[in-house]
Amino acid sequence: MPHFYQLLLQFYRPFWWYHLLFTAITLLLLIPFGVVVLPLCLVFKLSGYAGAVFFRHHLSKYVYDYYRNAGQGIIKLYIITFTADLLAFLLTASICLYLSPVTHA
Amino acid sequence: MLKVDSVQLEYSGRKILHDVYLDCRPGCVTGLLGRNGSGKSSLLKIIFGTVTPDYKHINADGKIIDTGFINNTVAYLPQQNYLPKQIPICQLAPMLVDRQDWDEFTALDIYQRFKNQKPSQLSGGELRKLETLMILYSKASYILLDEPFTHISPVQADEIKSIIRKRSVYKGFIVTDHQYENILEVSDKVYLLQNGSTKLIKHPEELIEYGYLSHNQSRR
Repeated sequence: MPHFYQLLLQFYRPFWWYHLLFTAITLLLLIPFGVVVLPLCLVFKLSGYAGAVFFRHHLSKYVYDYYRNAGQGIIKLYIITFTADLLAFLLTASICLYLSPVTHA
Repeated sequence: MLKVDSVQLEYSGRKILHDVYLDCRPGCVTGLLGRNGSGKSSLLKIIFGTVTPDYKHINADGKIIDTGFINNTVAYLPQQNYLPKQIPICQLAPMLVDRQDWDEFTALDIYQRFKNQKPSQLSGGELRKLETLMILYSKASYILLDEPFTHISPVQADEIKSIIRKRSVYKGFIVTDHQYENILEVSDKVYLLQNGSTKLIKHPEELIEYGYLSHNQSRR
């Protein structure tokens, strides 16, 4: 099992900065505008995942065989890493909304 | 035993594979020969689970398998490089190599030399050899090798053949390559893939009869 977590990190690592960028942009929108822009932020964040799949599929599809040879399916790896990233985003977004001046206005 | 039967594959209405049977068992190396475009790589990808045919029946150790790579039933060396380029070799190898064979694998000279480097820092030949070795020492019960002797020197090919023979004692191998001499040398059983179907080759002369080799090549 420890190898599985390492494999997940290896799968996520090439795009961590990209996901972080999408998270940062959405949080920068959430703080000044509050919960009103939350649906828009979610769509933006989800479009980031679609973009990541698209880029990976076109630029580095060859590495999929590495993960398959480790016994793991690609869809499973995408689902787990994106779910973890989305949960982290939702947690951070909740904190930002709580701290947002708009929420307390 | 890995049994592959009744595979049917069509691309744009053209039948690529339609009458395929091959098997391999631990203790046996199965060679697969065929001309360019005959469907050898497609057949290996079907067994591995990355190409979906119109029909297939694949059975590994009594269980019907749909996706070969799940649970490390089948490992596959593709023709192209497959390791992520920016992760050090020492972090990639443990994901693929069988724990039982870890000491033997890490004692290999090529691993010792490059373990702290990333695949992007290796030459094409070095990377190909390392990728091949990682598959040869994989946890999987059945190993599919697509052109393992291409892009490596004859000495390295001999080394790969020797490891295949050694590891085939307890793993099943299916090997395909255009370097037919290497395939004939390393295999216990050879199939020729021609016109979408497999033919078991009992004598090398049959390769001439089926038009895979010319008389000149057979005299070498």
